[in-house]
Amino acid sequence: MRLFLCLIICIQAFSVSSKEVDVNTILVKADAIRNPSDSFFMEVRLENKGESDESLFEVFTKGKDKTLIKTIMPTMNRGRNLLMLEENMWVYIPNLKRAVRVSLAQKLTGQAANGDISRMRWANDYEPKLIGQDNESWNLFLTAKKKGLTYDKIRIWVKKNSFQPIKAEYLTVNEKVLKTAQFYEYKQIAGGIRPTKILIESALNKEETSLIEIKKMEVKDFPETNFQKDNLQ
Amino acid sequence: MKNKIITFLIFFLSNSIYAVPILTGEAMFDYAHLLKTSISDEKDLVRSRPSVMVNFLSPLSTNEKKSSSFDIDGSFYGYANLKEGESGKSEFRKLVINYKDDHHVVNLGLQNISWSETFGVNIMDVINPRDYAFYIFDDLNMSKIPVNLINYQYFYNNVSLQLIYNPEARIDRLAQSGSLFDPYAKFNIPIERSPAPETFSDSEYGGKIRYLFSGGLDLGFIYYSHFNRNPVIYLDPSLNKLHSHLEKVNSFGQTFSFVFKELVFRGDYLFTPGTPYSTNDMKFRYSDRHQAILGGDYSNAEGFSLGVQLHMDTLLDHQWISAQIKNSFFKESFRPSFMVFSGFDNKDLWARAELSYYYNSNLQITPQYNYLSGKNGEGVFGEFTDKDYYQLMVKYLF
Repeated sequence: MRLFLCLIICIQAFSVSSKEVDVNTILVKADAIRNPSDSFFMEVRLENKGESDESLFEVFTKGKDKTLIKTIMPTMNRGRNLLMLEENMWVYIPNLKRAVRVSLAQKLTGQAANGDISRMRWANDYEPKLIGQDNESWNLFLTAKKKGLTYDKIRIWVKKNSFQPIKAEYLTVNEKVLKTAQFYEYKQIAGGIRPTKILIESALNKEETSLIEIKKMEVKDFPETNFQKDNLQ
Repeated sequence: MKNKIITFLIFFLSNSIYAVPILTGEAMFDYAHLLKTSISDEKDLVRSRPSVMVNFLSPLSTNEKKSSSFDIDGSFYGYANLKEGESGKSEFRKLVINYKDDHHVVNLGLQNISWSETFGVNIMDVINPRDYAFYIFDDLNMSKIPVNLINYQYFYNNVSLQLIYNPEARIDRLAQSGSLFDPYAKFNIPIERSPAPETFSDSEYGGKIRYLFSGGLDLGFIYYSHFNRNPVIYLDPSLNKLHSHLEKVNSFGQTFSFVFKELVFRGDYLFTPGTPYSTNDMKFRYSDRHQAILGGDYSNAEGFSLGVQLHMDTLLDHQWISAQIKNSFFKESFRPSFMVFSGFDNKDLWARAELSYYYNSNLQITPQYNYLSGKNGEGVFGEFTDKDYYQLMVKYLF
């Protein structure tokens, strides 16, 4: 009987500690929901509220800090391809037929910053801190570990049972909300259940929204040479 | 040319059975009008030109396990000249077979290579000759003449190495003798041309090494052994003849770019020892030539950008400053820009105002106004004393 009681106590103790998940693990697991692998391909549609034209991008990601974004539509911006290597960025200018070094302030279109598509991993870039939780979700506060990131601070909400990101608030250094993002329409894609839509809303003007839709996602390897400025075209 | 096109079409169509090629391009109408100048014998210069550019890309094979691939890509350009007495032209602007794997890239065929970090004059782009037949009307990129090259690149982490071999050296295409753009027409004496470089025995070669530092500094060094692209035209007073002179020179250069917040700093420096040139009074000379461009630009997320560049050239013995301001309005459908290029110690002045209007995503209308001014014998715009020209481009992208 005594042995049985000890066993029950041990099982209860184990189940309690498993609920207290490490904050870094939450972030890594939330990243794994949005990123199927180290190297993957996405076809992304971007729609800005009130605009008839939509944008279409092909996104090639390799490792933690190499992203190539090819602009397919609108036709007037076709070929304006972006290469991001860590905090360095180049854009290919079709008229000049060459890649030009640009600052990270350059953006794709509407409310979506380049970082919203190219940097989908938080764990590598931010230091997390648990600031709240309820039965459904954890609320984490992320502070940038390095300079040159699109956002200095982020507040995120992650579902407890699945580690799915629900919502994010992108903040300035002074913790003023710049934009909010909602992650929804979770579907089976690239071997997992992942958000296929991200709605980004300006905090200053609620009418200014951009919808990022992941139309296609595939785990795929690419040659390193695709992620070189001299090869950008 | 006809045979080249037929051969290419057979190759391209046979390959299309296995892979769907990607076709893009633009149809353009370009009207340019330069008010009378001294170089045109006090006549207005007019260009009225419909043109088409077709770009294609077709994969030849892919090995996903080895992350390697072969493809063919190119651009075909053709134009008609609506102005009486001028003919049209069609040519490949690019026709390259590409191979790439994780660390190596090989591009074989007709291509342009750009090594410059700065804008405008592109002093580091020493590999391709230029077409000066209509030099003020052509944009700087279209004035580059593509050449057949073996272009090999090796990438390892933050280092890249590029080697170039050009078996068939070519020189700048100058305006036809006696034509409106011929700067030597005023001498009214024939030019004795030096023989053109021979294939293989007069080949050109060189390379570039580049390193991206962890702090963001991107540094590159170049070397290229090439002909002086623009033949030196000098006067032989005893024979009263103009001679053109070509010889091999070596160019050494350095490029850099660096980003600090919204500011990008960039620079190019090129040194060509023993450059042959002709003086203002058409005497033949040699000089060590140093060219440098140093610039910085600011841009923000709203599409605004402002750039400033300083230029110097010891052969021309002058300095210039240029600035460009750009913005976009109404969801990027209006994109105005203004550029000015002015001499520090000379009278050169080139001012350009341009407004690109996108009627929709495919149709672009761009009126442009240019003002050119200079003093003869000084700087680079000596022949354009208080002249202006305007240009209208209508472009349909497909």
